[in-house]
Amino acid sequence: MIFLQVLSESNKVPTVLFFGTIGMLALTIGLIVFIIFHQRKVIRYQMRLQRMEQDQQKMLLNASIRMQEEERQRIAADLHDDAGPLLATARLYLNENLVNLDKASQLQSIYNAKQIIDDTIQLIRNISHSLMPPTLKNFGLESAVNDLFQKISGSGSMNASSRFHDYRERLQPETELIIFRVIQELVNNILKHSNSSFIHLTQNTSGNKFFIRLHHDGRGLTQSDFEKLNKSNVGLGLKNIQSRLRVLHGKIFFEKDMSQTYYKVTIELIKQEEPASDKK
Amino acid sequence: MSVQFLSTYSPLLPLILFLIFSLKKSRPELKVIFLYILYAFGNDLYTTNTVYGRNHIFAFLAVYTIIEYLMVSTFIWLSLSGKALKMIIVFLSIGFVTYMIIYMIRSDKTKFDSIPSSVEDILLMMYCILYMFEQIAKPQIGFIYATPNFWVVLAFFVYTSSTLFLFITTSSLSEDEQAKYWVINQISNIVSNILISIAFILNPKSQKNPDYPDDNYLNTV
Repeated sequence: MIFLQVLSESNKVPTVLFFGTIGMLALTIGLIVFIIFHQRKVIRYQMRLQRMEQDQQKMLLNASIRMQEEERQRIAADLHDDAGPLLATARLYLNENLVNLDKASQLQSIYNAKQIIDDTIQLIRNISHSLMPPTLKNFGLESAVNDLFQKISGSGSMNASSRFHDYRERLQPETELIIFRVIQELVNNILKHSNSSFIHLTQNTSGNKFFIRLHHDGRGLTQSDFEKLNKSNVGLGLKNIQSRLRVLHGKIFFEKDMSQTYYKVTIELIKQEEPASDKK
Repeated sequence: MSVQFLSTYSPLLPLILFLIFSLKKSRPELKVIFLYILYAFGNDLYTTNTVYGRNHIFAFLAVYTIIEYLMVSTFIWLSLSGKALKMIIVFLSIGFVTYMIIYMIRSDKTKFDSIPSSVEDILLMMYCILYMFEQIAKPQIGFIYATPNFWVVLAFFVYTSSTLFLFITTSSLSEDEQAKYWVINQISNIVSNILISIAFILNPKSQKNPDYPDDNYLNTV
């Protein structure tokens, strides 16, 4: 009844009132519905991003734990398979029957035991150096990397060289260790998978950024390959690299050079303001 | 049971629900709304049952307009977190209160305060939109409708948008038409009290996991 009265021509004010009220209500409801649905969409998107971030963190953590376990197993194997038998053999030479032997035989047994113990000491020293190279701690990243590359070249498997263009001030020891581990991992991957004949490392700085570039001429990865491997369950070493670089807020890029003849890996870090206390 | 009766006594629902669910746990802004509803209920009871004349009611309603504006704008001011938005409310409130004081001194108190009520409606609608804008602009995990403040703002948004054209055109209507179309105000009042009741039940501290609000939480309520 109100509707019919409102529509009659003589009732202009009630018409305005009626349609105005309906219009305002429609606008209000439309705005509220829009706001609710928009916010739901944004929140769902944020939660999805959060879940993806958490999954990625979990994957990196698992990779890190697996790497640690593998490292421990390797050390345990080295000690058990190499150091253990050597020390057992030395013990054999130095058993109680030694006092019953003649002097010459006694001297020979002691000499043999001493040789074996020397070998064991060297073996344990090598294991220790592979865990934490003293060159890195005492002389810095440049020396440790040069040392590493010299050993690779010395083995005859490939031509390895490195050149630090701008490393007058050392980085923090923790940073140097992380970078060294990343380089070690990359070099191990190149040695294992790429079949390359040379590997060359260069270091530069540009403004507040620190760059390390690795070039090799074998089979390499592109950035899309790296991202694909990172998301999958394989590529443990690459995940380890990523989690280490994350600690330094660094980035890594894999690409094939413009000339298409070699692959390049670039590590980019923000240089910290306070250099290490002991200089080269 | 007439619409007027329901409208007059509908504030009892949010008042009772506040006392049951939210008295100890609520935030200051919800307490302001509780006081507003209490005042509005008292005002409705008085204007409905008063033995004094119509003219007296209109003078009373003018005072109600200013107090209603101050209480609702205080609620929205407390709900906002952005300083700039809060300053907008403060400046506009100073302007409106000054205008209302001048109006109350100089106006004809035998008529409904059409212009001040319309201006109040427009200002409150603007504040509601500012609140909504701030909510969707700031990053948060909770859904907007999981907070009590949203339902209170929604209540006032619906009330002010429904009654805006009524208040604008009231002075052009005859007494009979005013009485007839006043049902819009009454229905809006009932709806707004229902929405505020939802706000008082929906205290965030009563949710199982306030950081990750359950989309079906309202269904369980």
